[in-house]
Amino acid sequence: MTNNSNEVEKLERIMEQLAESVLELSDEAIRAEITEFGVDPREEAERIRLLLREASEQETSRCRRLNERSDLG
Amino acid sequence: MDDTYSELPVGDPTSNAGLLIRDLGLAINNEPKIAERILAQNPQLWEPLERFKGLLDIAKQPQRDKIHTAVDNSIPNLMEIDSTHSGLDDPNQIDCSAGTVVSPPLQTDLPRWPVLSLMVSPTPMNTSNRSALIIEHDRSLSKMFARILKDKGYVVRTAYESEDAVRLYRDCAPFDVVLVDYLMLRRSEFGIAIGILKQDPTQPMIIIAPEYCTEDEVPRPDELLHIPLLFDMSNGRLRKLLQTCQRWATREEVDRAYEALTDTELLKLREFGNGQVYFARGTDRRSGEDLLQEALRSTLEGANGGGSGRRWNKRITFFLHLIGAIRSISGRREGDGALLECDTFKRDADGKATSLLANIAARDMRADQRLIVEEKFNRVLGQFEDDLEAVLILRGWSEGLKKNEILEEGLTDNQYRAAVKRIRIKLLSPTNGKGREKHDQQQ
Repeated sequence: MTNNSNEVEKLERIMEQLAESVLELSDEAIRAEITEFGVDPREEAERIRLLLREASEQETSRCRRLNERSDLG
Repeated sequence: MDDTYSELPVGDPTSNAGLLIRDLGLAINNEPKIAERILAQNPQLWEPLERFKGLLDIAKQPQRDKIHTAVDNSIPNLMEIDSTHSGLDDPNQIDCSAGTVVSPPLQTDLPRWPVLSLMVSPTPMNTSNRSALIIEHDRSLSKMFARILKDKGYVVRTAYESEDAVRLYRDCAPFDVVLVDYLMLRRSEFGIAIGILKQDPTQPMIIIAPEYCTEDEVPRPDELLHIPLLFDMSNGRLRKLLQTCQRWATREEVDRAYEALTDTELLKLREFGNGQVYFARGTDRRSGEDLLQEALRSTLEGANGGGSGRRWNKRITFFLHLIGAIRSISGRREGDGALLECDTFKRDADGKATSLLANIAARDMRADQRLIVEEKFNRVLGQFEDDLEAVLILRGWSEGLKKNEILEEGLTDNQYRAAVKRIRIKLLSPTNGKGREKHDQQQ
């Protein structure tokens, strides 16, 4: 371990490949892996969808606040 | 003053440097001793002066086959313009604001137009280039448009004949934009454009029609009435048209798109995000879910017209858009936690996002952080000390090797895939990888 900045790059490359490898999975394979984590893939997907809806609502609220502020201004 | 000199393209003639070189060029003929003295005191002026003289010599030739015009001395790119005659006596010759003089080609009776000045495009955020097809019989114009579009990040294909255009479109469509010369269209009785729109009614297209000034003047069939026309060759006008050609999604479309993501797409997005932040250097304490939420929020903001939001170009799937968004969000470095994503990206007029950090080398890390990174790396390898195939792959990845290169080390495809799965399961498992990393950071 002579060069720490190299270690950083190495970690980043591993991370990138780790993430990319997920994209190469078939639908069945990703479901199987999620199941191996001990989680129901369908429930997990639904939970993620709810998180996205939450993000959407947050953005809607933010826009509304901005509009109200500009109306007041 | 001799107009010949003032019209020569010496960088920016309106700048002090441009004026100095031009005056020096004049002085060499009229006041050689003064010029020599100035040059003796300022030897750095020799190079631009030689360039000026070279351009002057070219311009004075009665016939020329080719002019290489340096549009901007600060830009290494040269815009190559074929011309069959000297532009000096040509009434169509235009001195554009950037100081560039180019004669339009003789083969067509084109009106006066300023040549578009080239721009240095910022580094594109992602590597998925946009594509353009230029259908233009005039090679010099075709090259000019190609250069401009390439500088804007487009991969460009060109067709000089109608037959080539049809073949290229058939083989390579869809394009993000098709630029088509009006004269060629008219000659083909508009068959090229109509044919393209028959293949893909949504194909963005721009008709180059410098012979006209207003839309009403341009005779064209009903099928092409909605196609925007490029009359003047200003960069701004072209940029505006290119912008209108983009298929930016509206808020409603983004809402529909995320609701339409399948279960497996959602799972992949989350796991992709987890992979991106596994070592948590870039995005500190966030998880893949946090990244996914941020990617969507940013996209919705972009769709709402928020200047710092991320806009979804519908030429790619929403899934791929989110992948790109997650990737760029996770590219931030530790210590940037206070920054919002919008602080690290700028968007050009085309809507192309550019990471302000993209060209900055990895910043120096504090000694304690370095130790943490080193420890993490060793810990990851240590988790697989009994799995030689996984270690081989992790070491290969860390060295930037591709799958094929790692396979050359003696792994079969099946062994590779199985080992990658073991790596994923071990590192990304909620009971193992990301969650713990998150807590490690907080301690």
